[in-house]
Amino acid sequence: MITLHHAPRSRSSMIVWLLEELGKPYRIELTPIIYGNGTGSPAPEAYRAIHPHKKVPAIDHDGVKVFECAGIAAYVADRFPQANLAPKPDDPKRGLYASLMAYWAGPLNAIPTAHMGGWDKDKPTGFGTFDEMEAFLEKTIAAADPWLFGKDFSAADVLYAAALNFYMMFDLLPKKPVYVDYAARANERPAAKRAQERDNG
Amino acid sequence: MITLFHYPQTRSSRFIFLLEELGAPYQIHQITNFPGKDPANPHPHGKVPAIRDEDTGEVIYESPAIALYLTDKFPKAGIGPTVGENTRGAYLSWLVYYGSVLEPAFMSKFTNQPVPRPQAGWVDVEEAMAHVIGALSKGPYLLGEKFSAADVLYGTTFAMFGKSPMMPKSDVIDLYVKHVTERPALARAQAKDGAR
Repeated sequence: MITLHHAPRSRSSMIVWLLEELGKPYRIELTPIIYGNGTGSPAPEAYRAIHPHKKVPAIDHDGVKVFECAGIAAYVADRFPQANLAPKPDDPKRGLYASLMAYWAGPLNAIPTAHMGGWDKDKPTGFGTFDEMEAFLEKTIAAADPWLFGKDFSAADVLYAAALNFYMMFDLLPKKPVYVDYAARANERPAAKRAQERDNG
Repeated sequence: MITLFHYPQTRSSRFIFLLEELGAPYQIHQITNFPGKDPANPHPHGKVPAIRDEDTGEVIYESPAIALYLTDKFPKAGIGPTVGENTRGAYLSWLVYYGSVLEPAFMSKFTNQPVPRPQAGWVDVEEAMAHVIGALSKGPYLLGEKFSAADVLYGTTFAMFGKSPMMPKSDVIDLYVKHVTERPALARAQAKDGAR
């Protein structure tokens, strides 16, 4: 059984979606967090045993603990291959899958925040600039037909669609038709709708 | 056969270390025009590292992805827990944490930018290092007794920062760096790293 440590309308909401796509029984353990706008309350200190920085999401799968969205997505998709949420290890799309998962966690996670503060410089931050990242993102999403790796929806699609939803909501990304169409397609999935209903726990 | 797109003494150097640890067949393609675009380099932003798996033609970039891809492809070396092993969860968490928390934390510090917590997906260096040091106190490696590709990423990063004021002082980290840098595969890798 998977336990998800979750706070409604937070980064862990995309893991509710992922678990709905997975179709295995899971339980939600609600955790207080401080939200990006400063509301909410901190998790108790004991929660650090589950997440070192008292954030969400984190999961516990029969005693195996995983945190970081991309880590959880990679873990779950490989652990339950019958759900078909990742290219298999011998699939020629596996390399792109691994790359896009790590790109999501690294540059795509950090650069929009750095860009807000005006420090997404090419050097020495190493992330590269917002414009370069955004050009890559546009090319990647434009190639989705209908999903990132073709006809099979994947764990990476959950992450990218959730990031597009979030970034466009807060004007951290331009609302280009390519982003809007892909996100809308993903948001129409039954699992995405079920996840919205379960988001409050 | 793996081709590593490499530039001496950069983030790609430690992938020579990893490939040596794995005993994997590989060749180094030293790119020209770094930083800048080398048309032979398949990395989408012209950076290093990137690898191409010549068995399939697949290109992989981003350090955590390359590490995961390589340990999954060469499991016999035993330096990456495979799917179903209990430490797979911790392994994935540490690999992703490297790219999503540790690097941005050091970048923030290096560029004197306060971490806009809680909006940011990362934390400041002190909080991140407290987590790392906590794990290594049980050690000797991030996953406990067993060395893994995660230690290639973390150990070489801490070795590079050395006694820099960016790094919180810690005997635990000093000992960890010693363990990682004493590995014979690193010496072999350094001999192949090349000069700028």
